[in-house]
Amino acid sequence: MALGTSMLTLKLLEQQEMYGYQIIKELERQSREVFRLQEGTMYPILHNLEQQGAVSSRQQIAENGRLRKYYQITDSGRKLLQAKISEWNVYRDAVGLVIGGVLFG
Amino acid sequence: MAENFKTSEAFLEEVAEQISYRPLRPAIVSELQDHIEERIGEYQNEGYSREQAEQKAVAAMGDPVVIGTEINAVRHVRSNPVLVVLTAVLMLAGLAAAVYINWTPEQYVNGFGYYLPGLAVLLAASFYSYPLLVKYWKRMLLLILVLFIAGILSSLYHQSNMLNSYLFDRGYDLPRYLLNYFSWRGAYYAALILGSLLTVAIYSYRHHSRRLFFFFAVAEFWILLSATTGEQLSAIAVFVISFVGTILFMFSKKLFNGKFYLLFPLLLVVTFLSLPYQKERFQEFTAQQDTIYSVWDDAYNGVQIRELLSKTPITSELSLTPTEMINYGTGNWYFGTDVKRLYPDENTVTLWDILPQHYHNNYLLAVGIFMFGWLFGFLCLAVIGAFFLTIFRCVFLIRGKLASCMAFNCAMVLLVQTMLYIAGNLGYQYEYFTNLPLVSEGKISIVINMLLLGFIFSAYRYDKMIEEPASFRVI
Repeated sequence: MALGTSMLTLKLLEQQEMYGYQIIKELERQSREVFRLQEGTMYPILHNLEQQGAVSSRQQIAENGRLRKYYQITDSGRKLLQAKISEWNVYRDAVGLVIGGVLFG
Repeated sequence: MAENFKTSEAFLEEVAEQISYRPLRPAIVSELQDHIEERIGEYQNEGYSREQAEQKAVAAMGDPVVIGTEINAVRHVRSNPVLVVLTAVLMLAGLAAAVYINWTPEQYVNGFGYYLPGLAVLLAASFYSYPLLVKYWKRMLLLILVLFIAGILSSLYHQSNMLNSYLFDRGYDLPRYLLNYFSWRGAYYAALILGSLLTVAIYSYRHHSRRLFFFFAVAEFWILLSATTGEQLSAIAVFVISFVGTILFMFSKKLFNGKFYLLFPLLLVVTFLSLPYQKERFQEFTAQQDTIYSVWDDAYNGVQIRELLSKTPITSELSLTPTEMINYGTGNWYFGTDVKRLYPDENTVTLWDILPQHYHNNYLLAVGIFMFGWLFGFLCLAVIGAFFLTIFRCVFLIRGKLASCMAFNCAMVLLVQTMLYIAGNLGYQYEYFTNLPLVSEGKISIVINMLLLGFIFSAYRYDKMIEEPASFRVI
């Protein structure tokens, strides 16, 4: 799931910069509640993407007065996202081949 | 309430306990706390009590040990073994040269007296400097400015001989020695470190135009004050080239709003090129033969080095007849008459007697080539080249923008000194000699260059650990 989650995270960040909680909510909304993660597991993924240079971050004081960390996708992250999407498409097609889906329709 | 109810504080504490680098914990806790508080607010809006909302929010987070452990696995210290090995090779080469060449007893003592503290400084800086620099850069900048001003003042005192005479008359030899040494090179040492601190300052205030102007003005003031108080142009060159290079590096990272700020590095370059005696120094650099008046001129050393290098074979030492050696040693080959007394005669003269050897070990590379051939010189240059390639690779691998900018400046300071030193050893010397970092020349400069290298090691080491202060990231 880590590969899938990081791909989905990058895809969401491609749309706009977000903070951790916002990503979780957006993931739930766009997947129609299918992807409901244990929320804390999002942070190792974000930190890992940041260390890889796929996302960068900045901090800003939020309306509640707390310091909030926003993540943005980088150029390197966009390339990584394309690679992950390609990988995912291969996986999806392979599953389709095995279970017999629309590919044989 | 469920028996296993865990408060958000307990949850966050458990996550933090898994993070091995303690200074990182507050940033991790703050981020997770923000998440939990927002989730609690949402549950409260749905009608849950604060306690129920907190319970549900913490439960939704997952296992704190797993979260903390996974973050810890990502945010770890790192090292570069290749750079460590190359640093050790250069340090040992410098130490061996200082001990082996041993032109003066003083130099022999310097070998041990500065390399060992230098090693201690390198290790301490590698392990601790970057976190401290981020935290205390303002105090350190102030300290460097005070050091510089003190160096300038003591230099003026020294030049007027007032304090020097006072100490001499009363037999205070140690303070007098320290004063003389500090006043001679104090501003130079400060110049080596100033760039990295100004880099932190400029990064920090890159979106505050007035403060940014102030720190650019500090750099400009530094150049002018250094020049007007007799500081070496080569030291100023090291500062200007490395600092301007760093500013351009920061531009490449899009850290400034607008190209208007490019005027400042341009102004620094124009100021540097307009300094007094600059024209003469460039003339010496490019047309040395026009500026030679005696055998003791550095320009003469340059011409002689080029002459001897052209006669040095690839794989063996420079081979000259005794007559040729006497000619080179006395300056007769250039001036047409003996302008320097050479104590050995044709029966006893050796290559060692004619090598350029004043100023201690300023000609290590040239002397090495004369004694062992060009292949040895190429090997030395290859090691030095590999050292800098590795350093800059480290710098470009650093993710943190502040850390990479500061490390870039330190690397540039080391590189510019090295380039000037190598040029001098190949017969093209610009003004006074700079140092060959880690190798020559050395007293306190060895220690200062170790400190700069330690900054780079530290910025690389803690790159995945240190969160830049929020104030550094204002957009």
